[in-house]
Amino acid sequence: MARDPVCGMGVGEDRAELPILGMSCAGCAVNVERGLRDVPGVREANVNFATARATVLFDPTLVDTKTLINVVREAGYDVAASVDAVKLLKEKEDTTVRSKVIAGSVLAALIFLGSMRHWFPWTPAFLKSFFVLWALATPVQFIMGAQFYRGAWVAFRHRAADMNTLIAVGTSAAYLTSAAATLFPSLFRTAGLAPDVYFDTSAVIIVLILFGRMLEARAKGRTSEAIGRLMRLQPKTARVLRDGAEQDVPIDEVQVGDSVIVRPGEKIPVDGTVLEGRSAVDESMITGESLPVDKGPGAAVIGATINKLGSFTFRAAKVGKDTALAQIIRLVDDAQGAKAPIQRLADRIAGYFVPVVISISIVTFVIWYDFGPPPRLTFALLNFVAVMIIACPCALGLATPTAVMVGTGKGAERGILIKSGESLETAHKVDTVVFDKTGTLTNGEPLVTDVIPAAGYGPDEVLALAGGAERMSEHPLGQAIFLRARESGVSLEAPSEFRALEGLGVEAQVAGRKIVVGSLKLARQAGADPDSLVLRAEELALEGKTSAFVIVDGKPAGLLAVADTLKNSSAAAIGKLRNMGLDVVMLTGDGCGAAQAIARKAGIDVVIPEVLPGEKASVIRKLQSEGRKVAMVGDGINDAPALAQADLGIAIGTGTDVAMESSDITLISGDIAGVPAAIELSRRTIRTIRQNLFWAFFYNVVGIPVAAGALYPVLGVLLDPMIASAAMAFSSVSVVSNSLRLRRARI
Amino acid sequence: MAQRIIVTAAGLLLLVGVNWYFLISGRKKAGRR
Repeated sequence: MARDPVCGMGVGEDRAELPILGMSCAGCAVNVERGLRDVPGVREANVNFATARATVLFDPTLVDTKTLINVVREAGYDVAASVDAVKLLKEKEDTTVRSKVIAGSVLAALIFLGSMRHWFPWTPAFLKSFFVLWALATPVQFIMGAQFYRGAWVAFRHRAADMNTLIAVGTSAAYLTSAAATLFPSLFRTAGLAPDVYFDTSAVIIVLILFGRMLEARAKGRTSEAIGRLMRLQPKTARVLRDGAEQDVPIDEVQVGDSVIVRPGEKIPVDGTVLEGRSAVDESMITGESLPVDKGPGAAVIGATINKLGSFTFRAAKVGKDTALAQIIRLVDDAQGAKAPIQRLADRIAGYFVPVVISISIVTFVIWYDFGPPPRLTFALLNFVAVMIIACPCALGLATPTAVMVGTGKGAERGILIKSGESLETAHKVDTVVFDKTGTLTNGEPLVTDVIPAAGYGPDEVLALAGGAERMSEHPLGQAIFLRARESGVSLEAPSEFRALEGLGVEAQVAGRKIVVGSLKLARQAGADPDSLVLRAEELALEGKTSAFVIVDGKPAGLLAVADTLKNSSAAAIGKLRNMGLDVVMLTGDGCGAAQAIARKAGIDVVIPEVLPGEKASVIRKLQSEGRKVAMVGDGINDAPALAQADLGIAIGTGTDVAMESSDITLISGDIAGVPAAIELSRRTIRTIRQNLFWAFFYNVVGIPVAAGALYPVLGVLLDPMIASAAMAFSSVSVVSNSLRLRRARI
Repeated sequence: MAQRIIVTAAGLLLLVGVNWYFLISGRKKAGRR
């Protein structure tokens, strides 16, 4: 198909952005996407669950937006008038859920006191009345619990059964039996059973699960902030030369070919090429490069970066959605949306569990009705419900959230912020850990690593002279030299006639001598012949170090090597990861030699060098296509797409906010010892969840046959309601205490 | 007796229905994803 060269869309193709309402899980996004893709004329449809937005590319001659909206509505969801409407609605929903949890907790506590009257004899008498308990439980069941019925209904329409189905069916069974026991106690007595109520069971389950979902929703809200924050990086206006005059125009009106003026301290509005003027530009927010980059005529500038020193005019080359920033935003958006929904283990089990439980209940009913003792209908009905109650997913509902809560809390104590239960779940599957080099494995700031004096000079003397000359320098390399000189305690004299030579170095008078510090080119310009030091400088370059020649009165005095150094904790953390059986990979924009030098020190075998900032996400994608589960550790905005693309994004907390928000886990302290700790924590949490699920099921597996009356022919035992509730309580207690055990885990 | 046959038949029908709806038909639909 022919492609429009400007916006990349096919010719004769339209694009619609639909804000979707009513998606409660990643599965919903898949449903909407599938519905849209099946429409004739739709070329591509992507639904991002985190931003609640569908992006559809379609042929306007075959289909229109109205049809698309109808398809979404048919699938059981709705389309909002605008993106802001979705946001407002979500905020309103959050407040509603919070008030539901608060009100529900109060009601559930009262119901619990009333139901456990043999444990709490001091409970006021009126609370013990079944009718009062019924009145208290009804709003919990149908107002607080409404979303479970809604969720179960949506799942039912898609021929699936999930946690919602289990919660809705289970709590309804408990609620309806209790209501029946309240209204018709004689029905129970005829069957030889005490009419007891289980209102506490249904109410407590609903409130607990609602609480878990509230915590989950909060974590998810933070994910979509990453994109908003990236968007805020973009300046609102640009100063453009039009008809010979400077005009401030909104950023959207800047056109390719416009001449744009940028003053010191301002943000560069769009991407382009410098026409006239010189300056240094801080590009760290886009490239992660910590040193300001010198820009002169012909140099490329990137939108959203900050102009430091001089003024310049540039020609706009890329505007709107073609700028580097817009592309990063799209990459983060795509990666967040495309992330495969993690099917929760409990949900997957529920998919089989619910139909199986319903089947057993039906079989129980039929067998008791056909072959049971009289009164057959009563026995059949009560045992049918008993199976449903004992299968009620109390412990099952607690199995995952409690372990995740304890696990994330444990992580927070260690400075490991885990964004959601899903992140914690994914971390244990990781088999490959990819580190960004600068700022992650290394300190991200240049330090003087070697001082090599020429014949006739001592190291301290070289440092003193160079440090003095660099005292006024604003260049990071110059500052590194000055700091090192000051730290080493040599006496520093104030320079006179200081001059910074752009891209080359500095020259100054120190103690009556002319000092030049800078590149080989500058040294030669100063008339020195530093050949004796050049070989050494080349060796240092192979180790990834930058050399600065020190020239005193036209004669070489020495060489200073400056390099980004490995963080203290890096090697130990990588050793730990390898002991855990994980593959460790280093990703860097550096050349091969320098990259290998750092990797060797850190103990990393696999290095992917010369990766451009924009390519990081595709490197991750390539590793994933080899069947690896990849964790990416990074800190810069340029790492954000890779962090979002990776199965698990781990951001260094001392890095940029955008990196943190695109990631699943943030290491607040910036200590990468948190990487093995986070993965270990995840492994333990998952182990705990599996044990929990075992215990939750163990009670069900033992309880269901008893509830169905399997022991009645042999021992004459039916499931006593008290035993049923005790078993349920015990199952929940064992699950919760197993989760709490995680708190004592040493990671 | 007639009552029992009706209940058994209804139960079996419900049993097949529930399992077909959730397990067989549901899986097939999920498989298309």
